[in-house]
Amino acid sequence: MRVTFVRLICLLLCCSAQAAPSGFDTAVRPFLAQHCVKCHGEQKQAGKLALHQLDGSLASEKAREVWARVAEKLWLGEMPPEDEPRPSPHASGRVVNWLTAEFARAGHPLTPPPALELPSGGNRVSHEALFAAKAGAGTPPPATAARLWRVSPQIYDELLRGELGKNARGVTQPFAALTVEGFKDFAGAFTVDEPTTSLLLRNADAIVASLTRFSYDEGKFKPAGNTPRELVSLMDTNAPPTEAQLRAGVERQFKFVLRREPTEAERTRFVAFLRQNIADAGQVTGVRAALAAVLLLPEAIFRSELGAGEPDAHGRRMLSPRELAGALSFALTDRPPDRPLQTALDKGQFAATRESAEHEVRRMLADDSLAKPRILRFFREFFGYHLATEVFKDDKDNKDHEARVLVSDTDRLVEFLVAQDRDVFRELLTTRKAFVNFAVDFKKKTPKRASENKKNFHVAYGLPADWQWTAEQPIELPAGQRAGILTQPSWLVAFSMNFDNHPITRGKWVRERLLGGTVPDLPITVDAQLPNTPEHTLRQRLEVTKAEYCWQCHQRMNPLGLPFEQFDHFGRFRATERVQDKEATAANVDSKGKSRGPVFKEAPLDTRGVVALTSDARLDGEVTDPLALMQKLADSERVRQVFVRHAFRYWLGRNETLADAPVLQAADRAYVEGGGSFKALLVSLLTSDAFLYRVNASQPVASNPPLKPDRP
Amino acid sequence: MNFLTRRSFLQGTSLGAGTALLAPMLQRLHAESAGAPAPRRFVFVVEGNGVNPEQVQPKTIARKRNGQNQNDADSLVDLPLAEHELPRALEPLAEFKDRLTILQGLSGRVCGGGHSNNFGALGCYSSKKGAAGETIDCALAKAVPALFPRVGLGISDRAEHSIIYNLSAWGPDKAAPIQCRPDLAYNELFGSVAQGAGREDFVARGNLLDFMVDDVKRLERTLPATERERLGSYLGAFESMKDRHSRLNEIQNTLRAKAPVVTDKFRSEVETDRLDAGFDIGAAALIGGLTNVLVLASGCGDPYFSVRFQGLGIGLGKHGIGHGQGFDGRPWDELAITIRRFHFEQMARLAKQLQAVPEGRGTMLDNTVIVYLSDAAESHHSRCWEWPMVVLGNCGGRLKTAGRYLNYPRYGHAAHRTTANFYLTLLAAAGVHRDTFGLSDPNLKDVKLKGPLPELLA
Repeated sequence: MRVTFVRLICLLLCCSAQAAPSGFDTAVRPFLAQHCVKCHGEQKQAGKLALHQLDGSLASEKAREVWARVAEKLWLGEMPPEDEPRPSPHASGRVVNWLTAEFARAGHPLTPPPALELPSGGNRVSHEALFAAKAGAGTPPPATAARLWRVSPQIYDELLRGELGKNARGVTQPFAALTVEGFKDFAGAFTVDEPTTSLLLRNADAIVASLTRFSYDEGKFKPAGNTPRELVSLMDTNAPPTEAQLRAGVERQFKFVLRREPTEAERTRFVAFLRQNIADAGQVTGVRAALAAVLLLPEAIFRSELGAGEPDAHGRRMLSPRELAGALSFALTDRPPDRPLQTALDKGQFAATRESAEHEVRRMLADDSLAKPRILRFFREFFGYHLATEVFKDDKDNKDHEARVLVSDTDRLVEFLVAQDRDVFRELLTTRKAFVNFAVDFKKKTPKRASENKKNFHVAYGLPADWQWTAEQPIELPAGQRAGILTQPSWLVAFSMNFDNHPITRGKWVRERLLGGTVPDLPITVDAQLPNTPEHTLRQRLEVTKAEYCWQCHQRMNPLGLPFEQFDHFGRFRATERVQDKEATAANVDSKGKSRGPVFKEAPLDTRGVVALTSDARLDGEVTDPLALMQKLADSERVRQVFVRHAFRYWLGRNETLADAPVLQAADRAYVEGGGSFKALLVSLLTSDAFLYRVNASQPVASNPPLKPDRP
Repeated sequence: MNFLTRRSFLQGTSLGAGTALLAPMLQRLHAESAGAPAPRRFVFVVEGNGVNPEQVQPKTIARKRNGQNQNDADSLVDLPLAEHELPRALEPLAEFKDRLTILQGLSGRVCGGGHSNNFGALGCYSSKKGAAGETIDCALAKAVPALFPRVGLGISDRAEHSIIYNLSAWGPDKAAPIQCRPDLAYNELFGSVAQGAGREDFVARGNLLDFMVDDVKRLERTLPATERERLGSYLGAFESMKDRHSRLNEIQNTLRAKAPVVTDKFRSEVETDRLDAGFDIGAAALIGGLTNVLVLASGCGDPYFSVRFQGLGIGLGKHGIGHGQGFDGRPWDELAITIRRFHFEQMARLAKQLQAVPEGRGTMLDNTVIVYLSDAAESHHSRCWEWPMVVLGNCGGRLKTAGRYLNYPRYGHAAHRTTANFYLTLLAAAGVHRDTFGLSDPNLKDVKLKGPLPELLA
């Protein structure tokens, strides 16, 4: 997180002209007076904190301690408390900006809480502020801070699978992704540490060894098949390499790994390195070590997005053609630019402009032969249904459960709706269509059953046991049972417990991903346990969370998750809930009085829920069941905009800031005007200023005022 | 091995050399000669695919078992080992009987079980998703730093696996390697004194690290401050490796004296040979002061466990043996005990090597603890109700392991304890006092899951 901190410091140092010490009297003191001293002042010192005597000086350690607490609370939007009048996001932001600048000036840098840099911190920017009519006014035009983005595990996998790594033995994935549920690849989330570097080093050794395999046959040098001539010929100890061969080897390796020619300086440096290595470590070992170095160059490990050329009036520089080509390609695929783009790049025919970016995005989207795994991955990471395979279910409770196939069915549905490209998000939330046990034969390209083993797998979708599988999919599921991804068995299983539903995590998901709200982490002092009363329904057992202390948070989750009680924990539609019959169980004993096991009975099902605390009156209200809930959410402008915000995060690899408001609004507009076109949304994001422009951290970056969270 | 005493070596060489950058070992020797305590050392011998508790159980001590053949002891059993005969598998450790504790009855249910618990065995968590957290060897390595914080050596079921990542981790998603090619491990540790190809590798690696440090710095200068920080971590990694590399070069004299002799075993196709070589390299790394934490992993992790111990005349993989198959007229249990015995022979050999090196008023063994366990707990398809261990040495008097048999009571009993409690004991011996390690077993609500085992901690 030091990286962020430096960015902020640089940013705020340059803002410090506006936030001179006098800023205390104009921006900070009035804020404290209005929002803080009532509880942290002369009369009352809640949390043993008094702010009324602060004079804006950070000279003493004590003062810095107090101010750091203030900054953190404002950053996270945890103060003032919810039941007090809320300051505007800008007002809070000004105080934190002032503080950050003053801390930097005092030589004691202030670090923002890590949560703000990660996907989980995204919703803390006010939704209303982002989508307000004059949003963005007073902030610099959108741009992203110049950055190095560590390649993702998937990009590295492609490298290992591709021409470069396919013959290498003993290579291993060196990179980790974010482990929490949600988006996995954020630009600011990763650095490369020593254990990772040692893995990269070993992989580089193994890859180069595989590219330079050879043997000697009666003293005659024999390159192994499929090894690049320019590389393997350097191994021939009968003919020590000439200058020209060394240069050719360096060029080949650069083209291979970095997909570009080395510069003359690089060529010279690498040839010198090869020579030194050969002298010190012998021809074979020396050459291999030098070639391995190309695989370790920062350019091979990090995606460069620094910007190039002359900065515009706002200090923004457009990505270089090579950077832009890479960024566009990695937006949709896990591979470097495809042949048409690479060729254009090599010939100098790809210019870094908004128009050429749009042309390439549209071309790639239209090219069905180009695999674009990043699109499906977005929906997986957004919805999280693929996590169904991680939830252990006992076979004996449902022999027909196969999470893997439930997930691939939902994948197919997402792909289908994205391909239709009409009202995509609404359809994702409301469709009754589904793919059931559906796969496409890899070779024949014809539909087939995804699983042959589970005869009644389709029952999970509410289909009758005698339903006949069909190649004509998607099919319509029985009326009145399903509405979109959140009612697909995959999603329901992904957000379930081993033996029961999980209304809390389901509600949390809806709160965060669809309503754009936040839910605090479970306090470590809380030992969250539901009562072990199998004679009660899950809704009844959840009553325990209505205790005042628990309800503060649970009111944001449970009422949104409970409508999904319409389904059992395998995702099967049900009309009643099975609970233990206490009396019958007590009576169910053998002649020796030993229990013969529990006896169950059916209890009435209650699927009511409430959408509340959204700060959108059109959205708040009660719902009778999951279908009504999904309809309500799908009808909401706000919910759609929250989806757009998530798409922004995924494709920009960072959280949005207030300065990004115009980008978000344009993306939302493009989506709506395109008739709910996801492609239009993508084109808008990938040709936005935020995607195309970079600012140096010493320039005012997309102003990132820490804002009040969007707490309903 | 050269048995020049460590202190005389110090007096004879390093001070005279007066190098500015003393290697950690030399610093430690210096500290030792100035009266500072010797380093604490931790060795884990981890055998893949389960160890039946009965195979390490003295015949003359009966264990109470329940209907499912699980530990059913009503209370902690704590008996002196001197009065009992070691089982056949453990016989190779007979001469260390007075330094030995047979530890039975600890559970590790949070790991999940199976053919292997992978990272969970040393980490006390389910490793279904890979390395979910720090493992005990890595945690200890942070407490007893050395030039190589931790050395992991071992074998896999296939000779072509040069390196595997299934047992140890520095933290979530930070797997630490088990080097399965003795020749490569040798080059990494002792390459500075190697001859021929090993020496070439070492020199080339040094050049590569120099080049990378230079190259990354070159780029760093052109970056904005924020991304300089990001690249800084990558640069730091190369600098740290380069630094270690130079130090290895500087202590060439020591390493030359302590390095194991390279033999045909280093490239052998036979598993027992490669494991034997791994033990030799590991012993030399400890004695040379290169590390204080050593993991010797024999076929650990799924799918690497089904080793065929052909060197012991067993042409059948562990998987088959685990499923009750015999080989060449020998029943499965005899095969299993033969394999176990081989591991204890190796462990005894390592102990003797350490015992032969004077340190302080005793030997290196006095400051070491060697822990034997399996990555899969109690059986081929383990469920981790119990996790047999054999502990040799007291780590400088910090553990009460002198000739004991300890059996903790059944799972769920108030006095029951888990492997995490044992690992916390090791951490305490390393001077690190923590309450918990890994995940706590949620089904043991009434059991004291926090802190070390008082029975074992001195």
